[in-house]
Amino acid sequence: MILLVDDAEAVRITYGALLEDDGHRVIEAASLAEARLRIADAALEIDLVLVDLHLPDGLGTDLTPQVRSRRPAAPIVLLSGADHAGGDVDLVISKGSDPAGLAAALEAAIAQRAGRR
Amino acid sequence: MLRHDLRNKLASVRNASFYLRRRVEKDATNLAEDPRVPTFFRLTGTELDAAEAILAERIPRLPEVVIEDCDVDAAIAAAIAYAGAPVSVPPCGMIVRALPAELALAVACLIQNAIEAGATAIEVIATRDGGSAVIEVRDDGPGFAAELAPRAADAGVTTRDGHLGLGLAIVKRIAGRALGELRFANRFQLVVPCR
Repeated sequence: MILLVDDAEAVRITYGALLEDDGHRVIEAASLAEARLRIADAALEIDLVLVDLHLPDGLGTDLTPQVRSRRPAAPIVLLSGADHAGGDVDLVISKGSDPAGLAAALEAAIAQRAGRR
Repeated sequence: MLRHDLRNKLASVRNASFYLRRRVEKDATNLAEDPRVPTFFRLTGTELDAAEAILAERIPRLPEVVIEDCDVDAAIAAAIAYAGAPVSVPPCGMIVRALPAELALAVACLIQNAIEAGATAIEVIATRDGGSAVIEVRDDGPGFAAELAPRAADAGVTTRDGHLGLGLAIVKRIAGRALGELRFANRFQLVVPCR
């Protein structure tokens, strides 16, 4: 299951559709607060966090400590429409990039995170 | 945040388009059964409308440029007077479509570049090339390296310490406002449409 965090509904709809079409289950959050609730919900098997950098209640990277603590196996993939240097995330995907490469990029992030542990 | 908001809209359109294309390529016969198809067609339109609204709201409309007839010889004379350097200029007799003060400023910037590069013998030559006047400064300076030319007119680009790198950027902008261009052919040429 992929936790998709973005405050723009159209972004969530379109990325969600692509991810589900690639065979993933997707759960959405429109804010940091919603995302934190999802991450803390033990009933949700979150395999990857795909999060926008700019959210209405903070930065997507603010989720990093909680994800590393509660979901250590889940890579954090930052969706950035800005030029972001990275920080403690596993992958940065530009919102301007070709969606054809999305599936492979996420699979690589999952494999890389699994290889580190 | 303008870039962020625009990129959100454009990313959604790109993703929707990609999804639709992939669906058609996979199975074009059952498109009516996929509720995302009409949703994404609609979304493409609404996101593009929203992007346009963002641009209209956040990018101010620039005042229209008023172009007029401009005597090239007079503009060059004004530029030479401004630069305060001995410059040879054979008259050309051409009239172009540009603001006289701006054309004079552009030529003055080119002259100033030559002076700062160490030129002592400077000539401003204006010739006709089709429907345009081509104004260039010829001098005995070291010349401009061709490999540096593509970025030389970007604001802030300079090879000289203590300089702001704005002269050629000003020339380029003035050329654009006159619907002309700044081009490089061994030296920089200010190209402006003739009347």
